[in-house]
Amino acid sequence: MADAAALAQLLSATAAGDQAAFRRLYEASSAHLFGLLLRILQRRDWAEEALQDCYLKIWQKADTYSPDKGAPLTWLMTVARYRALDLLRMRRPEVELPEEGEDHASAFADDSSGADPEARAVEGEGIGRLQHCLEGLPDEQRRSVLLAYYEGYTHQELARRMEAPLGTIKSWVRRGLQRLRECLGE
Amino acid sequence: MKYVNARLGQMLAAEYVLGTLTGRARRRFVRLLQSRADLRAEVSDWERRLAALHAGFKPVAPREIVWAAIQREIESGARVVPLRPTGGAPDGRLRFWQAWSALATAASVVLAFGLYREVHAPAPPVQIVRVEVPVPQPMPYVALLQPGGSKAQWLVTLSPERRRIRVSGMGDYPMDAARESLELWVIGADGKPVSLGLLPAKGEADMPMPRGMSMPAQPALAVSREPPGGSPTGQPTGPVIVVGPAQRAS
Repeated sequence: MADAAALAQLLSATAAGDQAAFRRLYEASSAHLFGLLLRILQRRDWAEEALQDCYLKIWQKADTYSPDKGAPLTWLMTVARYRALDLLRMRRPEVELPEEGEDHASAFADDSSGADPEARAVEGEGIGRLQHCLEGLPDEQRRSVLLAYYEGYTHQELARRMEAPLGTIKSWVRRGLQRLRECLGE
Repeated sequence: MKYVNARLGQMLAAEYVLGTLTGRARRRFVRLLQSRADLRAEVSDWERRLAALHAGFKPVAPREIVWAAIQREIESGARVVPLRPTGGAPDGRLRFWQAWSALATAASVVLAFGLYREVHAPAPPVQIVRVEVPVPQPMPYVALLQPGGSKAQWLVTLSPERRRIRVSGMGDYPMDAARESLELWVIGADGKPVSLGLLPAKGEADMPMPRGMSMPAQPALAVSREPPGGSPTGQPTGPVIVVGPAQRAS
């Protein structure tokens, strides 16, 4: 992972319109963003499109980054995650209209894409405190939060995946988040 | 829709960051963020709390063509995602019309959306077309709405068969998005407007067609200015800024 100070410098040069710096920023960070986009969007073409959108936005908005928004890579990945969610909601609309031919549900009903999100979360380094707090959550709350985070699932999609009523899912997510907040000491 | 309750505000911020706040509620929350520093602070707190999870995403190198496409857009001076040129960039408008004429002649609205991108960034990563073209479907209805006195215009396509509405906006309509929304209506055979949803503040949006709605024989679309989140009555309450016919593309 590129070091934060170097990325911050590249970001500020990018904000000043330095295309060479922007290229280096892309080289140092794009694999992280692309991995995130691919994971959430599950399709290479969508992830590539989203990656392009992200970096155009970064090119334009690099000046809005400031250190209080977290480490540069964190900020970049946050930008990417929001973009992924937007695109996902646009392209994979809620299946609220039964007459709408395609069965979107089947696309993620059986997730054969490998590791469980919990396992993935645990693999990551530097999770530290958050991981400790996640481990303290009841199973279903932790799973709801992590599935929403890593798969971009909506309440409805969580309900299908976890085979629980919508109301139950909503309260798992809410309680999970509440307890995380308390555990993280705020 | 006042988030008087601080706890509710916290929860909405958390679910916004997590992504489980969706649809109308999400859009309303985003608008609210513009005027509420306390909620913005909640959002960045949650972004920080959950940021550690980023480590769970495995890096994957993108293909080189993505950088090529980004570079081309930057060098062509386009600063924003397609359809949102800043400051009325003339080439943006040109692209819009190129796409529009393609739409009129190419007999495929869906294709035209691919064309926006293709015209905009003429090369590799244009996979949208392949993905979205439905084969034997009747053509959707299309309307181009241009309110007077502004540079804004919206290309609306309605596909009753697929129950989808797609809006592509260009240019800003002058208003305070935190205090007003633009609502899209179809005027029924009986002359009564039926809400189709809110127009996106920027760019493109896909919306489902309201349940049970059928298209009138000669539909007209209208846009009105409404309180944030849309008309509270189900009928237009604010001024109608544009009305135009919607026709089957052919």
